[in-house]
Amino acid sequence: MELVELSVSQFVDSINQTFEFAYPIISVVGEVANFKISKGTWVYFDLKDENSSIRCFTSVYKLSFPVEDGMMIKVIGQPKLHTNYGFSFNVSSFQPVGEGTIKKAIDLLEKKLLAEGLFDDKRKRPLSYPPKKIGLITSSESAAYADFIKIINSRWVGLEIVLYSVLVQGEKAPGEICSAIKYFNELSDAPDVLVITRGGGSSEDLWAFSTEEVTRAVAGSRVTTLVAIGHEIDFSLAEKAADKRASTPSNAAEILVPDKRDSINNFTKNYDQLLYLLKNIFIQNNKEILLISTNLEKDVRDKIQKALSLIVYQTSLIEALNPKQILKRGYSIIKSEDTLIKSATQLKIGSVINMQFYDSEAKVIINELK
Amino acid sequence: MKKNSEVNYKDLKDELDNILVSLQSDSIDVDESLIKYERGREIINKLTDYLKNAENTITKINAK
Repeated sequence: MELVELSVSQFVDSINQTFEFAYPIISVVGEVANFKISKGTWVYFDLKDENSSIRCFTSVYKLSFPVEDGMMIKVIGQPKLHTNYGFSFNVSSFQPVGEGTIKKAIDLLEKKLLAEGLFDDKRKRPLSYPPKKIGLITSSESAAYADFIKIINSRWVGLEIVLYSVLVQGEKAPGEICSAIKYFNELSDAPDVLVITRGGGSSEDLWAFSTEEVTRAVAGSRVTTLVAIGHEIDFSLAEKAADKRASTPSNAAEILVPDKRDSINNFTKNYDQLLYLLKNIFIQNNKEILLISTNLEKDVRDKIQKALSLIVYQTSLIEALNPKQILKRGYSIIKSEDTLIKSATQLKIGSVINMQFYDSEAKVIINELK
Repeated sequence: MKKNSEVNYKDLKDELDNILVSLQSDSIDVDESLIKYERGREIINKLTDYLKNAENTITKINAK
């Protein structure tokens, strides 16, 4: 067999072609050692197990959570033989592995994002209640989707639900979830609320919802967000960054809309309330009319009484001034040819005068004047 | 199936709430109260019918 003789560069190219053919993309799990960031951009670390260690290389932009020595992580990427620096594994994405590492990764990321104010209560916005349009981000194949739709259909009507189906676990999940959030935020007729949900699972299954990119996308959403991941006890950073958290997908539906059965019952009560209020207005109005009529009657009665009293007074006054009443007391009226005689000087001896008494008259001749 | 646009639930519910408040006002007269009562009944019928018969619409978009 003839030996192939290559230059160093040709050999490196050949090895890289072989890597590309054999491992176009591969996932490797191991413990992080010698982790360091150079010039704020380049990330170097070793990934090791009991027997072996490989050199890994990436950029800080690929770090989806704070990485530390001792963490068990899964890296996805390609092996590469560098022309100057030898073998390295070029990492395109990271994922923590195992409960302990995941918890530590979440703790570190939470501390970092907390310091930035991403979870502040003052950032929380109220959800539209009930919303008209819902952007739903979950897997159309999931139980979470079925549960959410079942509960929301049983509770409310007239909703426009737009489902953006995404992977909810695995390497591609964070990217798809972020694309969905971006899609809804860029719509001219954006939904009133985004619901991001998935059912329960292991901490690795739920990891996508605690990655930095998803947590930041939720926090930065222009559309209000409701996030429900896993069960009551499960916890994700996306839920902390959301405007509202729900414990389960079903609970998300319960939070979003009222129960139409309660609303229909309330409308039945509103019927009774309307009738009660109308009756009250009529009763109140009748009372006012009764009061007005009673006052009117009293006014009229008083006026009549006053008028009667005046008439009685005036009658007695007239009676008192009636000359006939005076004549009764013994006085008489003396006239001579229709002239009222008030003095004897108006008379002469022999004049005939007319004397009027209260009940009769007499003609008298004057015999003497004094 | 009823379309969402046929009934604006929130507007009608707000109108009903306002009617209930105005019917409790001392200044409302009998004629106005009768008109509001009738409108209130009409809104309740519309909203109840809507809640009993309308449905939700679901459209699906797949991740690219």
